This record gives sequence, C-alpha cells and structure tokens, in this order.
Amino acid sequence: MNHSVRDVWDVPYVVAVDPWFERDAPTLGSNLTDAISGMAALLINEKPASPLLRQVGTYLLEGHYLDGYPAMLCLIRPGDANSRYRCYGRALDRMTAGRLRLLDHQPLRQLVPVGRPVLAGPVHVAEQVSALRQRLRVLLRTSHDPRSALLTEVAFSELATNTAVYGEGGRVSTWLGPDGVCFLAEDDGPGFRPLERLPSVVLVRGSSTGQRSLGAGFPLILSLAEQVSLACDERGSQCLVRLPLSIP
Amino acid sequence: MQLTSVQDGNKVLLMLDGDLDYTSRTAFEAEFRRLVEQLRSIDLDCRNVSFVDSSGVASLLSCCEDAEEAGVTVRLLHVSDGILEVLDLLGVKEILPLSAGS
Repeated sequence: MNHSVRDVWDVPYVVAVDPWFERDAPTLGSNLTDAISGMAALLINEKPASPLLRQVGTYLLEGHYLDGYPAMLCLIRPGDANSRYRCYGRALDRMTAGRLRLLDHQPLRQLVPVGRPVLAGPVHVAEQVSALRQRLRVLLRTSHDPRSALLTEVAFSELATNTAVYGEGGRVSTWLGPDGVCFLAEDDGPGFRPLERLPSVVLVRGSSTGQRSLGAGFPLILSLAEQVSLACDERGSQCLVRLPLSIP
Repeated sequence: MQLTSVQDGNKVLLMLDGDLDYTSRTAFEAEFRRLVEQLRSIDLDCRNVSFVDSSGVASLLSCCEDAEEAGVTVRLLHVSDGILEVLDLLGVKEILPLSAGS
C-alpha cells in the first residue's frame, strides 16, 4: 500500500485580498490577469501588494497556479467585515457550480424545503450520533432504495460526527419530504473559521490535522448532496444538507 | 459492532458484525492490533458490516497499514456493494486489501 490517502481534488486556491490603498481603478482589460497574478504572487510571498485595482470581485486566474492549483483571487472592499465572507461565498459557489453556498448568518431552518420533521437530537458525543443514525436507518426503509439509504446514512454520520467531534457539540435535525431528505446541523463551535481554511476543509480530501481522521467527511457530504448551505459567525455555525431520495 | 474471531494456526478469521464508525472503531482497532501481534495472517469477513463512514474507513486504513508494517497479511473479504461504494467515494478502494474471498 504505497498510495497516500492525502489525495486532493483539483480545486482552486482562494486568496482573499484587501486592497491596501486607494487608487483610481483602471479599466479592466487584457492586463487584468497579469495584474492580479502579480498581486497574488506577492501575497503568497508575504510582501505588501500594491493594488492596481479596487474592483471588488472574484477572479479566476486562467493559466496561473499557486501551489499547483488553479488560482482564484478575491478583491474585497476595505473596512467591510462582510466583504471577505461574501468573497469566499462567491468563490465556493463558483468552484462547486452552486452546490455549496456560504450564506449570511440567518436561521437556515427557514430554508428547509417542504417536508416533515422526523428526527432531531443533540450530538455532543459520538454515541449520540450512532443512536440517531440507527433511528434514521429505520425511517429511511420505506422511502429509500437500500443503496440511497446507506449513502444518506453516511452523509448524516459525517455531518453529525463533525458537529459532535469538531464542532464542540450541537444539534442535528432531519426532515423527510417528497423530493428528499434535509439535515440541519447547528453548533456553537468555531465552525469553519478561520475562513482562509474553509475551501480546503470543504473541498479537499485529506485536509484534516487529526491523525485519526481522513479529513474526507465534508467532501463526501458535498459529493452526495444536491446542495449544502453554510452559515457561520462568531456565535456558531449551521450546515444545511439537501439530499435527493434517490442518489445518482 | 461485534467482533468474533476464529483462529487456525497463525491465521485468523475475524468476523465483523454491525457498524464501523467513530464509536466502534476504538474496540475494533484494539482487537485488530492484538491479533497483529500474535499472527501472520488476518482475514476480515465483512459480509455483516452494515455501515461504514470516513471514521470507520480511517480505522480500517490505519489497521491495514500497521499490519503491513508488521509483515502481517490482511484481506478484506465479502465486502457488500453498498460498502464498496462508500470505500470508492472515499478514494480508498484501490488502497485497501480487498479480496473476492471464498
């Protein structure tokens, strides 16, 4: 077994940039890519950058790579605390073709599509995760084919275990509807902060610092789900996962 | 998860019954490592493994790596299609010593 499980997906590397001082914004044109990649290169080398642009936005640097990954650069509005957060949201949305959304902090419970609440409980220790999962297994027998039921259980287990073990505990709720299943995990822990780590945690297998972990749980949830919505701030984090009844 | 072992010389067949996850992995690893110390060959019969997630897979991988280092042969037998798909999704299907088994 010579392979490493630290396998990574081919995903862009996100760098969020504060324009350091005001400049008149030049017309965005053919020099955009070079200008931004120059900035990005300077940032990676931790040197002060001279921003040529103050256009807020998310740019994919075609043909430019940082640490071997296609580079994505976000220009954010100085002094705007939300700007960085939204910048990462746009980047993740783009990288996952809309499958992963980073939303402003709001009760994600309100975004649950039609369905009846079927299961809810605290997840502060892993034993609670296993107990809830057993109950979920019974519930899914009538609505799901065996393969989709198992994969749905796996997604639940990843989400709930993350909440219990890495999220300092919280709660997971489940709704079952005509189009699928919804899980909502709510915790008071640090969630996915710092933001800079978020892209690698959610998209890249093997990013975990724990030796006993594959670091592959969240990427697996993302590969099975129709949509994952995240909202986090200093109070805690929420993760809403929508899965179809029949997983393709 | 229930673990039942049947020993035959310096070879053992370990039957896994139930879910391999964050809670059950500790007991599994302890038993597996005990067997690695004593034997040359371990067959894991997985036909009754009803569930595995990334915690369980991390456990399997870690155990198989330890066994390999100790020069102990491990085979995973009778893995169901559902469980095999989870292993594949986690990128470990080619890494684990899966065997068709008898």
